[in-house]
Amino acid sequence: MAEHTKKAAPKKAKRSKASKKPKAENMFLAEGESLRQVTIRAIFKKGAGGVFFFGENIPQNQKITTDSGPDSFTVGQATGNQMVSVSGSAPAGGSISIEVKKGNKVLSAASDNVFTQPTFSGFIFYTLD
Amino acid sequence: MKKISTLFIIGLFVSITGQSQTDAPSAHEDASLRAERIAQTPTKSGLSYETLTQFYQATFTSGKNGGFKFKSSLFGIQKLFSSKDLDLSQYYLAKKGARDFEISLGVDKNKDNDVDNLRAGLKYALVNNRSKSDVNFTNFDEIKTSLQNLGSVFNEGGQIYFRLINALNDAERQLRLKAFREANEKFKKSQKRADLPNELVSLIDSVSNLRLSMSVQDLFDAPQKAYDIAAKKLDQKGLLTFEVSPGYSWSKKRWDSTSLVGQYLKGFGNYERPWNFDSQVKNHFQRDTLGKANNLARSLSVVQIGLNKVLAIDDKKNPVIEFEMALEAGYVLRGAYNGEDRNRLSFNTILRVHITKEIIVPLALKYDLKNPNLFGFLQFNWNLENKRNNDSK
Repeated sequence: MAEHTKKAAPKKAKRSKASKKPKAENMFLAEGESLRQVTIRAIFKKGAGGVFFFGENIPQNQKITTDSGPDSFTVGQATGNQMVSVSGSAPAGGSISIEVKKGNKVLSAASDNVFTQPTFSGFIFYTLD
Repeated sequence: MKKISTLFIIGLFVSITGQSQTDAPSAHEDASLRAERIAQTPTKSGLSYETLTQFYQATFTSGKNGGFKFKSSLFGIQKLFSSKDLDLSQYYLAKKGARDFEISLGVDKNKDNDVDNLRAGLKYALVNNRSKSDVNFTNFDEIKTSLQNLGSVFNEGGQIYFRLINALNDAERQLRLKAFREANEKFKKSQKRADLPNELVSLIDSVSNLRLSMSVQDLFDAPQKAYDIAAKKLDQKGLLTFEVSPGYSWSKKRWDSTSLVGQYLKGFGNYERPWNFDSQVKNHFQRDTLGKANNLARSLSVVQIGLNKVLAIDDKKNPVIEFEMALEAGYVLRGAYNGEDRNRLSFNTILRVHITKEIIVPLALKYDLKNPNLFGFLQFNWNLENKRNNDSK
């Protein structure tokens, strides 16, 4: 019984440390309460290519390519009208399509954002609730 | 005559079938935009396409031993018979072996001018460094930098313009947003900045001058210029193929010949109007036409060394006229007829004219240097591409 009490004490201390973290996260979330997680995905057809992304909260040099890495990334964005800029190189004779989703809800369909040019740029519009 | 008509109908059917798939405009790309897109991608030399087709190629040849030939990559055939979307890059890139494997089927005329010889062919590219679809061009430093410059300036100008619109009263905001979206839709397909709103182009111009000391025209043109150079340089890389093609005589109901052909292409010189070194080693196994031997006892070896030069290009750097000169030496290794000279030597030229991005007309002339004699034939090469589904899934 005594042993159990000894072991329980440090656990309690740990819990109190951990409780500070959510507080900090809560502070962040409170600041950006209107931020919504948006997933941007690129679909490549007929070969190798790559696309760069620019826009609100999108890290510098964010890109998706056929070389390696995931075919999508997630970014927190404010509600309202949003616009993401893209530039890239579609596979020779192929295409790159870009889809924007919030959860399962499609905000901008891949079929609306098809790029077939060897080099291209363009905007992708969507509204975030 | 009936055979020739049948041959022509088969050829036309194959061509039309391929073309209907080629030209079927998807929801997002009409024929004119597709032509524009192809024009933006420098076309390979006709010699490259003859050596290894990308998807499908139909060839009509005139002259003494003329005929029809249809070539397809194994991947192209898989696409014809698959209900799945094989174009997704993950699958497409993993199937390089199938894309570098070519199957051909053709018919030629015999000595009596009858369409008689059926010829099949299996070709594999042991080395193919010319395939643009296997290259991620954003890995080239100059293309990457110019695309990142374009994207960041495009974004900065666009975000200012977007904020200006969002600051307007509700009715005007809706109107301007709609116009911006419509202009963007046009621009996404055309990539012509004239399709963007003038105010936006002015903003992009200002940001470009401020950030990069670059005019808006240079900003938009730089990525494509860098791409064109990289693509043309890629077309100079090595291509090594090996082909086996057995021939069957329809009238004699027997296998009449088999050819083994190795070909190596390597470009050099000015990338806009490149030279191509074209070397071929062939061995033809033929049946003794006198009927003395019952197998493919006659063997003829041929070595051809040639140089191909792109003489003229269009404003998008696509080849328009190519000219090839080659020296061909042959030797009858086995099965020479009585009194037949075992050695052969000829000087060959081929003038290739690109009628469109997909149609090439080569005119070949062959001059026999040992027994002075000139003969030639005209070809019609149609490079087809399967575009059954260009939309995303």
